[in-house]
Amino acid sequence: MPVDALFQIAEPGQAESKEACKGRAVGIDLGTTNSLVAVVKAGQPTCLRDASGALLPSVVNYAVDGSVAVGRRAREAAVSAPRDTIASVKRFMGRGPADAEATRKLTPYRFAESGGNDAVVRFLVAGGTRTVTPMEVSAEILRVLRVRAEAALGGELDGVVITVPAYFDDGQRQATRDAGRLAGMEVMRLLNEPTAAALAYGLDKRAAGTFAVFDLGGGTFDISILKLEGGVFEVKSTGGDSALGGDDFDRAVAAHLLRCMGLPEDAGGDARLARGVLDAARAAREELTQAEEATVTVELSPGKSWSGPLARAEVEALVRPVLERCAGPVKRALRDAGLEPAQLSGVILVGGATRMPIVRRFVADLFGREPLGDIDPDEVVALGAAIQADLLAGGGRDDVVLMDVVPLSLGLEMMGGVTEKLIYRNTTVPCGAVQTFTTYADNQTGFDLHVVQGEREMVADCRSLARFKLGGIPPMTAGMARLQVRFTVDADGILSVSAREERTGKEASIRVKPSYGLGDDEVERMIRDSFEHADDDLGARLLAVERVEADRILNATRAALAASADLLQPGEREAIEAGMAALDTARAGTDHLAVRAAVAALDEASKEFARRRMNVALGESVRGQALDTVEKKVTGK
Amino acid sequence: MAIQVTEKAIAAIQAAAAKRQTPPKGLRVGIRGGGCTGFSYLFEWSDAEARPEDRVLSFEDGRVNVFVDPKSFAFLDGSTLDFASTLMASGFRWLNPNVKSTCGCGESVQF
Repeated sequence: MPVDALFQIAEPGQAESKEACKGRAVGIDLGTTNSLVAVVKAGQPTCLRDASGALLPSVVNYAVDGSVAVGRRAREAAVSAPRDTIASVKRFMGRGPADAEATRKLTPYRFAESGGNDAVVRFLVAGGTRTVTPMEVSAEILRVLRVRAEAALGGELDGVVITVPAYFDDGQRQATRDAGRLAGMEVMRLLNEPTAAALAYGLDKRAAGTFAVFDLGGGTFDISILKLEGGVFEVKSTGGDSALGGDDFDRAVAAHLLRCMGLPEDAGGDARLARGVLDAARAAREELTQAEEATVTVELSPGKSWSGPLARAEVEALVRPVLERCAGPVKRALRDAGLEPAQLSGVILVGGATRMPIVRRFVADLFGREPLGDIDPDEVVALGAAIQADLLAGGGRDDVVLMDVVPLSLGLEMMGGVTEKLIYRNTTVPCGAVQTFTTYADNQTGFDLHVVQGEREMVADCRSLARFKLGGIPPMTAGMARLQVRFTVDADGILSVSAREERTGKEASIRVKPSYGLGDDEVERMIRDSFEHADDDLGARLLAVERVEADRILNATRAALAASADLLQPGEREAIEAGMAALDTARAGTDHLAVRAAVAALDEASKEFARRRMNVALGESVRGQALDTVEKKVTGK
Repeated sequence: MAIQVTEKAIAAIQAAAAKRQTPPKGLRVGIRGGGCTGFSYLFEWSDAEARPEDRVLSFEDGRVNVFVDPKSFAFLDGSTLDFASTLMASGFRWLNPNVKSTCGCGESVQF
């Protein structure tokens, strides 16, 4: 009787998720214009600030002396060193040299010559002495936020959630992930910006609904339509204008101010004056969010300044034509999602420019309802990311269920067409599993790995995901090779399978997206089938396993009979062959217990023969050797 | 067939549930992958109601509920859930006739 382990009852989730609990996890909004970091403290998400506030301008300056500045200092340097100061690096994430070429006319940056099939664009900075990738530039920004967070939390970060626009493709997402890693952070998940905003408003706690997220930032406008179902947000459609934002408002106001000063719209080519007027325009616009009238002061030259009044109504008239450009993308996004504005459950405002009363009125008119805007629109995305990070880190908000899980179990095909599951259905991602396998036949020099998905016990009833081979293994006796197979599902649901033969170090791996081409109905059907066929499947599995064992023993016996016929006693061959025939018959049947019994019977019938073979083999290895040598060999002394 | 739960096990579940902060909706038992020999047993509280497909074993006028998913049920059918106290430790154990072998630690099983 084998020992029975005694089990204790575990808390929900602990038994299935062996991921270590994480303590310090933050959310980062890596924006085109500004970036922020937030953390959940005592159940409340808060943005972490430095002396100048929560917003860190997403600007990086690489000086000729090799120093790197990030944030406000870098933005100031932009005036004197525009080519060495990368602003809005986000536009270049995951982009190739050809894409950069297209924007060459629009940006002051210099790009390094791409070395043939170079996949990423490289900026030439620090006076042309250094090349950096967009990932490296983003990593500089992330590093500053990391330092800020670690100072505030008093220790190393365990993980981060970084937000990305909903329309980012795989390459852009991977680039963002790489930037996080370069900055020395563990990116637990990338979260869509509109989803983060919805989380910050706690919309995930609603039963269901459709939401529009209106994100008017400094330099970009994004509109996303989200559908909430069962605590999970799905992006239905996206739209926007990558060259429309608060900066355009500032430019419109600045042009007006210059006209008032009697100067041409390009400030007569005076870059410093142009910058000064733009800053004044921004300050006035921000002031007029609250006040009805403001006084604008611009320094024309040292000791000489211009001053004049500006009313909110004037600014609104200037901004209006720019704002109107948002209407087109909004209508298109609604149409793509197949929705009328009245069908939406809510509209969320994101981005600093949405603070302006005129923007709020415009959105209210466009959607026919008052938008949600009581959370600071600059911070809302970072706050949502922090909530998600806290959740992933096991922050214990048991009122929110927003977890991605493996929809169907993932496993490997074993001998006999049996499925061996490595990762079970409903395991929360990211997750992983390792299992060691061995060779079935003597001198097997490779493994065919067949990755399958599904709940059924037999491979034939599961979905095939991928096949790959691990070859080049030297011939060994069956069972001697040790193949370690590792399954990892990352937060984005990508499955990586790697196999390594431990004796030889041979490796092979593959990556697949298990959810590819798999609809909800399909998942539902596969799960239902597994319940309906649970009994049959168990039987089929047991039978398949016994058949594999039967084949193994039949082959071994056949080989032994051929090799050592001289060792057979009279009548023994007949007995063994009768056992083999009986096993063959049982094997063809469907009763796994009969197969098991026949295996045992054949084992019994051939036991003496096997023992004699063993003695002979042993005798051969020690023949002609002195007794003490043999003793040494056997005892290993 | 069915799954049996011994009186000792029922009493132990009830006692453990009483000690918990949140009264559990039930005890989820089942079979999961992992462990050194292929499968391992699952014992955890469920704060959610039983899923529609679950088999629910109810005792003590519904005060003690044990949830088993249908897949695990196929493997556990015919077994008895018992609670044992030894000199060394006490805990739950499965008396499972379907088990082909257990590993040294007894925490994982093969069918």
